[in-house]
Amino acid sequence: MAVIAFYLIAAVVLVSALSVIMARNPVHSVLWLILAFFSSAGLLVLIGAEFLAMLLVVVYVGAVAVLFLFVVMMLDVDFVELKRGTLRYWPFAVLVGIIFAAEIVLASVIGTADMETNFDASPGAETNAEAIGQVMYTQYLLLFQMAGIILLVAMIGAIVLTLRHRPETKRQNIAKQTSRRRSDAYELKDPTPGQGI
Amino acid sequence: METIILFAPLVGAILAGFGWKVIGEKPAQYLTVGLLFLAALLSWIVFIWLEPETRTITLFRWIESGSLSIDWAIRMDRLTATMLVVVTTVSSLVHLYSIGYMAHDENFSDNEPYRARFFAYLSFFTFTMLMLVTSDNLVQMFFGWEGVGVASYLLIGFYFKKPSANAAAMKAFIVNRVGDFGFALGIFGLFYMVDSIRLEDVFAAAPKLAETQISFLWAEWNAANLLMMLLFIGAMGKSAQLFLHTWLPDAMEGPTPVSALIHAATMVTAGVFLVARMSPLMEYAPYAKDFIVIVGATTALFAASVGLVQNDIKRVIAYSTCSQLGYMFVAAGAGVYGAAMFHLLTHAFFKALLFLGAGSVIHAMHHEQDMRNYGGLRKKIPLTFAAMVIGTLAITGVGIPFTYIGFAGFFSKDAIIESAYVVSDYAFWMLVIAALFTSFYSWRLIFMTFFGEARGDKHTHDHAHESPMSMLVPLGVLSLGAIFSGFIFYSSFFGDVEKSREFFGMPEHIAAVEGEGGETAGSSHGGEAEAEVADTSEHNAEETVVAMSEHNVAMAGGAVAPQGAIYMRADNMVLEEAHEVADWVKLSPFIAMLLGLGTAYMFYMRRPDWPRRLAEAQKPLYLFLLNKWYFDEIFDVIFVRPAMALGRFLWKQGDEKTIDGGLNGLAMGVVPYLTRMAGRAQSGYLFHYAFAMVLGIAILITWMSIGGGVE
Amino acid sequence: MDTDLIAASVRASSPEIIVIIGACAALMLSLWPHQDQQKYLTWLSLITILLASAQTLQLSPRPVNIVETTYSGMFVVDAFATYFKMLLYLGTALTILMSGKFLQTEEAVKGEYYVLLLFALAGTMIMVSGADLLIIYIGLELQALSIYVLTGFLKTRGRSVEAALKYVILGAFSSGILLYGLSLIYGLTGSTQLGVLNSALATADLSEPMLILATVFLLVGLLFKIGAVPFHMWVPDIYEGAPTPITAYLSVASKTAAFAVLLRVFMGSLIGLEPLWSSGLAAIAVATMALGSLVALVQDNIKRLLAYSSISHVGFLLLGIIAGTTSGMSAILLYLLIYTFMTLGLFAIVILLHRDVRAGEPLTLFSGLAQSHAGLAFMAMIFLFSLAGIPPTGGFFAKFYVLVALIDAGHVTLAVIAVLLSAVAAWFYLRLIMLIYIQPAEPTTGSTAAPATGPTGHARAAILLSAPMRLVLLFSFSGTVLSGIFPAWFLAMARQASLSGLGN
Repeated sequence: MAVIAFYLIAAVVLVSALSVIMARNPVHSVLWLILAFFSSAGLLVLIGAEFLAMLLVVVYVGAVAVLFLFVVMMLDVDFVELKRGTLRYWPFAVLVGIIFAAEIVLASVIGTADMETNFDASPGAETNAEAIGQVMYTQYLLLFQMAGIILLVAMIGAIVLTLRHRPETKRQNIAKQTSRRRSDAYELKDPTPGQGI
Repeated sequence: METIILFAPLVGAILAGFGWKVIGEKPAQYLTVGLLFLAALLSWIVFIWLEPETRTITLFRWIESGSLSIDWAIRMDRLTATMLVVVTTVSSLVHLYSIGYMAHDENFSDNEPYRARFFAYLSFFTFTMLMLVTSDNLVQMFFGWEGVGVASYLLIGFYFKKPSANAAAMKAFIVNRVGDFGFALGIFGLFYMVDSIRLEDVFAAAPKLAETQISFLWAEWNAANLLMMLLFIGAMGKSAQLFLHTWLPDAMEGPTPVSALIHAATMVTAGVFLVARMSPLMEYAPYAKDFIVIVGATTALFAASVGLVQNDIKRVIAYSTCSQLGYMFVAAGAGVYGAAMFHLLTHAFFKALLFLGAGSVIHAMHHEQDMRNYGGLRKKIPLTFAAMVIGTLAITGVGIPFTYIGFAGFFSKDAIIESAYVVSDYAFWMLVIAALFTSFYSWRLIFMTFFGEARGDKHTHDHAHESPMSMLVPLGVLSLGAIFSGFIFYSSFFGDVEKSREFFGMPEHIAAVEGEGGETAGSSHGGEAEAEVADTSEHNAEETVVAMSEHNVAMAGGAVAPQGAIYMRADNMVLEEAHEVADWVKLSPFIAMLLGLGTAYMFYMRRPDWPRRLAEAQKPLYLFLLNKWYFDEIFDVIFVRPAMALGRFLWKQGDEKTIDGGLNGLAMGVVPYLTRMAGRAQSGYLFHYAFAMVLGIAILITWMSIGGGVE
Repeated sequence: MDTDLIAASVRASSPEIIVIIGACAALMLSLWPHQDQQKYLTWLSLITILLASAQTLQLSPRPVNIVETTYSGMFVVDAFATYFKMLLYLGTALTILMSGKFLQTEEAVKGEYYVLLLFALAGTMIMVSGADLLIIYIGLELQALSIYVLTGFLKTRGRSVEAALKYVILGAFSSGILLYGLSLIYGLTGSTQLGVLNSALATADLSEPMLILATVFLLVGLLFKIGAVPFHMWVPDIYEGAPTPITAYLSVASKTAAFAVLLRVFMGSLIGLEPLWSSGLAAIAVATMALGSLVALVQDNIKRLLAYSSISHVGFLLLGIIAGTTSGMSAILLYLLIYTFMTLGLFAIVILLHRDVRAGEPLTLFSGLAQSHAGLAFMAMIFLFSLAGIPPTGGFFAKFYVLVALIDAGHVTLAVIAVLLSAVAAWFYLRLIMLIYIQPAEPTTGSTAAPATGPTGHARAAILLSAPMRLVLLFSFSGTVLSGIFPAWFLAMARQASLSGLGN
């Protein structure tokens, strides 16, 4: 039963992922992406990681994908035009893609390694959420903290790259204002009467 | 103390070369001079209070790789000490002299800073020369060897605005490269055979090498002979011996102090030093020794004969240097290393004196170098005249035969001629004739320069003036050396067998001669080493490769290097026999000297028209000599033009068509094609890049699946 | 994991913590409006790095073969990590020093620049200390993310933005591949810890396809970071577009950290799989050297040329991994140190000659340098000699020891190929030297040209050597020269670091 469900959901993930890059309309692409996220969440549920599945739905579907949708709808990008150049290379790319895919499929078919035994979704705990809670601040403390710093860097980066000062708008230059000294502002002259400065 | 000697010039060079803008040009000059005098003083202290044993002062580990490990170390023995004294003394005097000589130079405009640069080069040269003579391994020596080459290049080409100076610098560098190639091959060969380039190990392995055959250039050679021959080719280049001598006369394009320091007293003697340093190997290379004697003797005669007719004052002395170096090689080749080093020492004094004297004359005559425009200068520059005469007396070997009274050259040259008589008639007669020629051209120089009527530009003669004090002091000091150095050091270097053994720290081995006719301490140790090798290879019978390398190690490590600065095999009795030669042999150089002096006197004092008439009567001979035996022309045809043609071919066909063509995207050939392909792939399109990555992954997976499965 | 363990872990990672605190402090400082803000930021960053390096040295294991593993086996402090961290401090500090002048010319002075550089440093430090594939991945991302932003820092310049975009997309692609390999490894062994992997894979069946996939993906993810063929395509574009100090950082620190990971993973944990990857890696190394050297011949932009030059150096470095011995590893460590010196030195000179981004960096920037600035020209010559591997500069010994390790390991053919290709590479370095010393300066064209100065009609604006620039040149020059004169000393350092056993 679980196997059938896995193949079904996995097929949906693959099809929707393909559609993301094949769709002509960018908005459709994003919608396909949301479907891909949902299906992936389904896969996570199948292996017993229900907490991660929820997180995926909440974070990626709820926040990231919706943001994508907004951005894509606001930007007027002609994706058809962008993709035109790639069409010339289709045959070759498809060939390599098929070889690549075949190798991976073959590997998983021929492979004898038993990967299932190595996996436990909730080690040492009843539920997935509890298991994560136990290790998050202990065993994986460093990972968790560093991931936080990555998010900080992402935020700084986003601000640095997008914050733009338009030259035509007048803005305060606080540094300039605070470092202004009396001597910069005016100077004392001693004009001779009748001659001006 | 040795460390200070070695690094004082380097410090001077760095401070003067890079720091003169900070400390100023004048202080930079005085600083280098001061440091050099310090080094010279310490060198004399080291020389006088030298202990008999060889000491090694390791400065630091330098290169390490596999079995090759090289320390930067100072090897202190008599040879090193002698060279230290020669190098630092002459160098410090030349530094001092240069302050006066380089004060004004027509090749540079007034505001051009050239002096600090000159002094930095001089000090740098001194450092590299010291590095050469103090090295305890061949790689360090090679670095010093190349270093002096570079310094010499820089100094010959110091007047870089003169095309002839640039050409001469290039010539010196390239001709030296030929010799260096032989030297490098020799080092590689030694490392290949001995698995070490430390002198200790090489010396220890010398007896072993003499019994080994190696194949080189499609023929079997005796290892010791071949390696010594290769090393000697290096020495030939640096010491301007026949075939590789052509650069030395041209090198006179450099400023005169440079000629005195590098091309007379120090650098060119590096070859002689090398041969003497390698004496433990030399003693096992009889063919190489013969070869050295022949080359040396021929050079001595050849250069002296060319010197007879040259008119440029510096070229005369240059050929004289070349000829004197030939003398030293004859002595070294004969196995009398002491005599070679002795002549090296005395020659350094009187040749530096002659060059500096010539520099003083040139300075007085406003950079006029043609002797035909001199004449009658002894009244104008009496002190220079005196110095030059002392130098000439020294080089021609004036002294009273069968006594210990004479100038420096008298002792050292006679020692060499006596040694030459023992080993080879050819060498002996060559050297005696060369002595006659030497006497002739040296006196000719004196007579043409200082006596007779003033010739040439009248104005120049009127303004001829004595040089400043900083130039005269070195002349005075060197004069003392030219007069007394022979007398003082004669018995240590050559005259007294016992004393010279002690001097060079050699152990007694006279007794060994009575035994098995020349089985020496070194070779018997070698025999033991062989036994050890047999032992170890038995243990490692299953690992032949390991055994081979251990064999090499044992070759170096098992045997013990002979003691002492130089090494003479027990059957090498040349030194003893040289003292026993017939009286006419001892007298011959004196007679040759008198004959030369007499002829010169007749030609240039009594009958000044004779030279011209003789030249006209013997026109072919005269031209032959004047054109230096046409060596330059022959080399031009044989080497230079074909090389130029090849270069032009490669340039036109190879460079311009193939490589430059690639730039235009027009050319054929694999490299430009590949380059273009890669360039095209670099299209700037993201999906091309990503595609290349996917392609790479696919290929890698395929590769590993196939390759990994096989293994 | 009790509090004692956590305290020990925190102590072990204190250099990283110092750097991150420094970065946050710099972030605060960049909001403080002041005229000399940039100066303060530079000093703050440098002091942070100095403190971190002092702390690293203090933590450095004595004797060297001790390995301290913390954070539940995710983080190690060993001689290897210490060596690499010092190398990264050096690279980052010199980058910061040379940035000031560049940012001023580009009018892009912003505090975030320093903040991001420090974060990138923290990322690379995590990478070299990581003993778990996950933490290595996190460190790599932290570093990469900071550098993506820095690449696009000159946001008004098209090339800079384009480079950043390309880098982000290709970088994300390579990260995806790396993660894929990581998950396969986890599936195969049940762990991502390097120490566990080592024992788990020791008896692995080499023909297992999943293992091959995992190895390839891991390898490719890392090869992308160091820019080996065919994963090098991003290198020239990004090097050309990025601000020059960031280019220098990319070619030095970024690569150094990636090499540390490559060494730790492939020569530590996956050494059991060597028959699997070594031949493929050898092919990649040769292709990398060949492509780097050959394509560099026809470049006319100095930054692109240096990009290809760095590609060919990467090929040479990979050979040390193929040697597969400790001496090969110490050769790589030495190479990276010397490479840091000479590359940063040359980049500093490029920055000094740089006028503005619009003018680009044509090779002719160098022409006639010898006439106008003899000292700089001499330094440039030494750096180029070193890059070309001509003795007695450090670059010669860097290459020399790799070759020796290679020959000792029996790969003579590879060594011969390497020598031939580095002879090709020497050609384009010498071409630069020729430009510097023989070519007269080109009369500048365009409105940005400075008026002709000097008696020779030489059209180069006077180069202002600020104190930080002097410091960079002094450091890199003396490093290049000293490593050429005393290679044994530097090698001893590298050898000590490579003996620590790679944390498992």
